[in-house]
Amino acid sequence: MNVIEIRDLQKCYGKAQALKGLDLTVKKGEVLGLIGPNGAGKTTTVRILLGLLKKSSGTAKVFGKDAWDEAVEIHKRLSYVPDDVRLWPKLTGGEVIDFLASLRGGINEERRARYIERFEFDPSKRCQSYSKGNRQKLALIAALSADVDLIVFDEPTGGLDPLMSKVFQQCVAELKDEGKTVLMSSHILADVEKLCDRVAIISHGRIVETGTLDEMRHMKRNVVTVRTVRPLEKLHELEGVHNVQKNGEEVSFQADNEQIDAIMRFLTDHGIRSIVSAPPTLEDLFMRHYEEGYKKEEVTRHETE
Amino acid sequence: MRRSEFRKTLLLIKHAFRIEKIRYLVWVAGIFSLMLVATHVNGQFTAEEMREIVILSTGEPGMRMLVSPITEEGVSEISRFVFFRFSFIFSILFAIMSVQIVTRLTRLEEDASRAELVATSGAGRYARLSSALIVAFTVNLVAAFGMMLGLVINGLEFSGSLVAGLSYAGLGIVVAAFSALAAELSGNASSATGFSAITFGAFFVLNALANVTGNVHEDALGFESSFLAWFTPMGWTQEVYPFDDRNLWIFAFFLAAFVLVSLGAFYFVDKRDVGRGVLADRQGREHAPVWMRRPLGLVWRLQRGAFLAWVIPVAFLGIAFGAATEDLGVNFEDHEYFGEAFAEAAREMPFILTAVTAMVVSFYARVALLKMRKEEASGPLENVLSTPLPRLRWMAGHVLVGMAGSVILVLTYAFTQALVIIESPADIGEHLLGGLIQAGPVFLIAGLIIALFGLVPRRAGALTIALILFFILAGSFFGPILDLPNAVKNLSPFTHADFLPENASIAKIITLYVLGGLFAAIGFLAFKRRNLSF
Repeated sequence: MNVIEIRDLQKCYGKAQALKGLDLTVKKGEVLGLIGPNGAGKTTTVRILLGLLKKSSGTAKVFGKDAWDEAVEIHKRLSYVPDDVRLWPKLTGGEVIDFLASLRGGINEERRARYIERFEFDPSKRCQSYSKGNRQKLALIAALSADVDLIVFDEPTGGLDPLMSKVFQQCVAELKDEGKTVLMSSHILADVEKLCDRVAIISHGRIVETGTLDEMRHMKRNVVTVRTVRPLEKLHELEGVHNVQKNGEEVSFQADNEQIDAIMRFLTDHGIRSIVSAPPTLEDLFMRHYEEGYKKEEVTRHETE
Repeated sequence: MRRSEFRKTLLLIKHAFRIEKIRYLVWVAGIFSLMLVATHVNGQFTAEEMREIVILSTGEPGMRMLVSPITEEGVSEISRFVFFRFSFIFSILFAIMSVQIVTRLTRLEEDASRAELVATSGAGRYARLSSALIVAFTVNLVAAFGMMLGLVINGLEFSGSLVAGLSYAGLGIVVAAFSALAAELSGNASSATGFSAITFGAFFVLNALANVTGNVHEDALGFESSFLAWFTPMGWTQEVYPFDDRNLWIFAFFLAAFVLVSLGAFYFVDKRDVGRGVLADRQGREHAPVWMRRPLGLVWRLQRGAFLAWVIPVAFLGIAFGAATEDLGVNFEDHEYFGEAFAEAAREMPFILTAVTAMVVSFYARVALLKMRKEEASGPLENVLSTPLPRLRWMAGHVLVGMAGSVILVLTYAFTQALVIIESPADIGEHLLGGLIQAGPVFLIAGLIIALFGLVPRRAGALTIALILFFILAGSFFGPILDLPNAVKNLSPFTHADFLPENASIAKIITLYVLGGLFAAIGFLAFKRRNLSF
């Protein structure tokens, strides 16, 4: 069953089109990472799912219900941590947590206490004195204390220090064990890489690629760095070899996985002295999409000119 | 104070003018046009008519609260007459302008954490405050010239007009210095504005008392304030007499107060952290009390500060003004021409004051209802509405506090004023009815504010302030003084609420309330259907 189902979602702000036909599904019990550069449409997508913004066209469903029309029903089963957590300056952190929890149908004191302790949060201070990180912790505690089926995080670890990021990662892992569904938008790749079952890359208002990290790696190139006895003169002519760079005796290049067998044979023929082959990091995948996105943008700009 | 702490003040001044120029232009143009129109319109009175109006308003202690002292020789001169009637409104305009300029450039900047950015970019610690004060000083001067121009175009003498304008700028800069102090002392922009408003309210009450206890000339041909006027900058302005004695030495008072109070503000800059106030931050509760966990409870928690800050002064004003109007007209009952007119005016006076209070309360309605916009644009509304709380239920809480709160404020004034005035308990009903009538226009304005919040959230702030100022100026109190055409006066809901309950049309009053409800409903529908706007 799909917890989140988005089809051909479009959103315009006046003339600017933020989402240009976005498709995305999140299955029950899945942790999905939505990654993309600033301005790609992550927050817009999340806010439409929460019924805070109205879509221009397309479908956006949560728990099989329309995100705008049945927002209240949907909200009974989800909690949300916004990107920029803003609070009431005069209220204390504890008061805000209690209020938000009561709106979600009552507070679970035991969970509240546990998360406050784990995040080392002081709930007796007034919100105006919390730092960005502390405001984020507050929102996390309020969201995690609620007993819900879906949690939506928008850039959850932006203000957290490495220690607290780790606590956050453990919390998400626990949610996953409990069978809860998580949608997490981020541009912090380490979080996504560690936590998410599946990743969707968003760029310029569209999902440009989606899949498990394994699936994505499978499609992608390995980065190979090799030293051989005889010089690799004709390497760049081989099918599936890209970006050959010589660095003294060392040669590095990218290899398509489909052609890896032929490439390895070619290398062995030249007498391998040492070889390192690494799967692409998310960063590599990510950078490729950024660059393509920018290139595409440039092309369209040229065309319109 | 080291000089280096003022570094980049000039840059911040330029920045302020760049960002806020439209706002300043509107203020100056507004003050200029009001002066121009008021002088022109009142210039149409004959000398005899002016004399009568002065006698009627001077003979009553209550009415003296809203006019300014005038010399016996000046009663039939337009130059003195126009200030006799308009001193009150110009004082308020210069004060609001100054509070707004300073608060926006200091506390609001800080709340938006822009101040930190500026502070770490090499600007001195005092740069923000000194730039705000200098900008306020400059805009006040320009507004004084605008005022002068409005008078001179009407053929009034140049130097007197200039001194008149400057005497209000003098009040303006003193208020600006107090706002700077308030900004340093309080924890955020809205409580800074609150402190400033209370300070100005105190100036106003002292001045009103100075006028009430003043010395009335023979035959009620004008009056002088009592010594109390020296304790309030509003009184200093009135003591300048720009077209008579021209007491230029009073400007030393304005400048001295401006400098001293500003120094106080600078003193506190060193005593606090950026983003905090001197008077803030105790340890708080770790748990929310049960009542606060409900949406309406939270709304009350968020709104009660503003409500209490209004209801207490309003209750005291009722008592003070009630006392001042209590034995109205007694002195002049035997006056050969005006005896009867005094008796009539004396009966009407408390109801007029209730109407003026209602006009001021429309600013409360705006503050309370635009809290919703604040929650949306810079508050946690996004987080709140991602819970199962329906949008309209969230909105209903704020609307309830804003609308009911406004009506309660007007009724509170009418009630405490009545307590002092009435001769038998049976009369209290009439005064409460008077309050309910005057709350009608405020209710309608509250509805309009809600509609604008729903329909055009980003513009609601500016539109509502413009609407309220227009309604007040075109309404039952200032409309006739400005001699506006009926078509314009009728646009203001205040015009349709007669002062005396026996003159008021029930149908009109009910219409005001119904329209208020309708506008509110439009606001609800619009908010339900729109995007949140950040």
